[in-house]
Amino acid sequence: MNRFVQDDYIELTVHFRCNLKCQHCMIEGTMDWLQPESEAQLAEILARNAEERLWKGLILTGSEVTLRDDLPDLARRVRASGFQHVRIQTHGVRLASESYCRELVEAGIDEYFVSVTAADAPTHDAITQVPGAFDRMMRGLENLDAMEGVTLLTNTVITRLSYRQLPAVVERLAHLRRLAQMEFWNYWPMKETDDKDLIASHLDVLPPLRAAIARARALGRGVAVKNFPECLLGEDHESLDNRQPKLHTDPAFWPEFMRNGFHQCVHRKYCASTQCLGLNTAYVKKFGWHADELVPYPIRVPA
Amino acid sequence: MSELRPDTFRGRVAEGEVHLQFGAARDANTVDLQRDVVLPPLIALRLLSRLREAVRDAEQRAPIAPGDVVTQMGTTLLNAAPQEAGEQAALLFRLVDGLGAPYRHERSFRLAPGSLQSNRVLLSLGRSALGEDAAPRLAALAARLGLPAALAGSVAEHWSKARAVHFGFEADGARSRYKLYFERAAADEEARQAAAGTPVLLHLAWKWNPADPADCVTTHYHWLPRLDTAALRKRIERLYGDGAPLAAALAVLDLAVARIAPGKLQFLEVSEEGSPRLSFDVNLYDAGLAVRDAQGPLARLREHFAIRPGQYQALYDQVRALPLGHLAGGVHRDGAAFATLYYGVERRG
Repeated sequence: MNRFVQDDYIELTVHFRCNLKCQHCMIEGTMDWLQPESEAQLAEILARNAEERLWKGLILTGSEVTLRDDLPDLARRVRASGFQHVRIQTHGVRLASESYCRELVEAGIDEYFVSVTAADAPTHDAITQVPGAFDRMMRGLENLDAMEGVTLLTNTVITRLSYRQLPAVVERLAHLRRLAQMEFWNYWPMKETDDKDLIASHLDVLPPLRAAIARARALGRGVAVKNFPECLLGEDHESLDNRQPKLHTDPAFWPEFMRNGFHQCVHRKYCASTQCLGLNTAYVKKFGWHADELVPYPIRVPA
Repeated sequence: MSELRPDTFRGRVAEGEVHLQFGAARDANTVDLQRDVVLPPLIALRLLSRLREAVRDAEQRAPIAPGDVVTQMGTTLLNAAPQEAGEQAALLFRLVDGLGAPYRHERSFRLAPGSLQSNRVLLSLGRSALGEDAAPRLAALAARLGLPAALAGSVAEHWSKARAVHFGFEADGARSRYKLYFERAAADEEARQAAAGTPVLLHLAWKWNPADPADCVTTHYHWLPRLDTAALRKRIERLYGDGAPLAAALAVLDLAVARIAPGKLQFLEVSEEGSPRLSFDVNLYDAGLAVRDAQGPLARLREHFAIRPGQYQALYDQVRALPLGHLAGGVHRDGAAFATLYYGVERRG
């Protein structure tokens, strides 16, 4: 189950540059023309929260926010406007510096959502296409794990390159005391075809994903799975949480996002699931409809 | 108010609302969607009327070439082409929901050589829920599903003798079938009066391919009441011969008779006119078993029928906790052995 209440958070894209080249990057082709939210928009959100206390947390996202040199200043402003939590979404490379971690924590960033693409350096570095990225990210997690008041979250994008390692990812991070939640986001290609051949069959992903969920739970972690058919998760279906905090981003992002074509399923018109994103266009083109594997949720009559 | 000048659009209906999506064509195959306008159907109709007026006005000023209009209405590649079986199943649900009566919903999966089929559903309605004027509504529903006209004319006659009706759907690869079962009202009394094991007609069913009305079969389900364990085993042996399916079926039967008197298990034998189909169907719901109680026998069936383990496991894990309903098996109309498990009946509607 997700440990965090999505409605308590608001998400803001403040940066569209990155120094890794993750093969699964969902904004790879758009990073160069999407615009981060303006200073005026940021100021408006901060002022609004200062007055109305609408949200408990603000998530700074985009591409790699640690590339913004003013990140600590930004965090201080966010905290000053009444946010109890500041979260950054990061690949974690810069966190290898303990002093930088301390600077961020002292500035008020208390939640770190770190991308862990695989369980070992060769695979992670092959996915991120930057040698040394895994070791630096792991050092960053361990730096933060030693700091009071920090909460860690991780995200592992499920692709053909990573799915076999999902249980090993959980195991590799088992020593982290402040890791509250592990998320597993099943890859979507942001277009109608899987040009990069990264989508893995749900049937292949299912066993390692469920093993990872079970192990993460045994370690006391919260678990959130995104973009996987709810029915296929069986008794782990409560791990599926496709909700997201309200995202403020360049409106041009959404037409790109819609190209995924979510909510397609052979059973969609008579399935009671309210959480499921179904299949997407690229998935159906690659693996078909799984009509003989997906079992719709019956629409129950209240007792 | 910001102005949008799209060069392409599409309209679709989802969840009872009309979505008008506007965008710009990036190339011949790709559209960047810019706006999704969601309208209740009534507002969409008003918009349509207003658009007609506007186009008429525009045409009075300058002709609009029909070819251009068609081009502007081109489809995008955003969604995959819908699967026909899904649309057919959805039609059945929509029509049965439209009867406005509560019904029971039950799914099943069938194992056959090299094939696992789980896009199968049965929707059951009782006479009391449908009321006295049901016959024409049932006939219209069946006709809408493509029931051959020769049979549609006798729906009223069969319904007059029925206590329940069951609508079914199954997809087997590219071929789909709708099914209509009439459950005879007199069967209970006839079974009570019959000697143990004497066949009593319980269901008469029609099963047809909506794409090919000539592809239609009539199936008879005979109830053999009050069989003891030995008789049940003998009947199943006769239909399955020797081998793994028989062993699996008998193992499931043993699970049931350990919990309930064998005479309380409703055992049916199934035959089809003009086909080699000969099979059994035993109702196990009263034994209070879950699908997972039959895990071992089901795994043996999976292995015997050479179903891919990953495919089977993905399905099994979704249904393992649900009540185990019926086990059916024997020889199907294609002459091959099969086993079908019905599970998790629920009330809907």
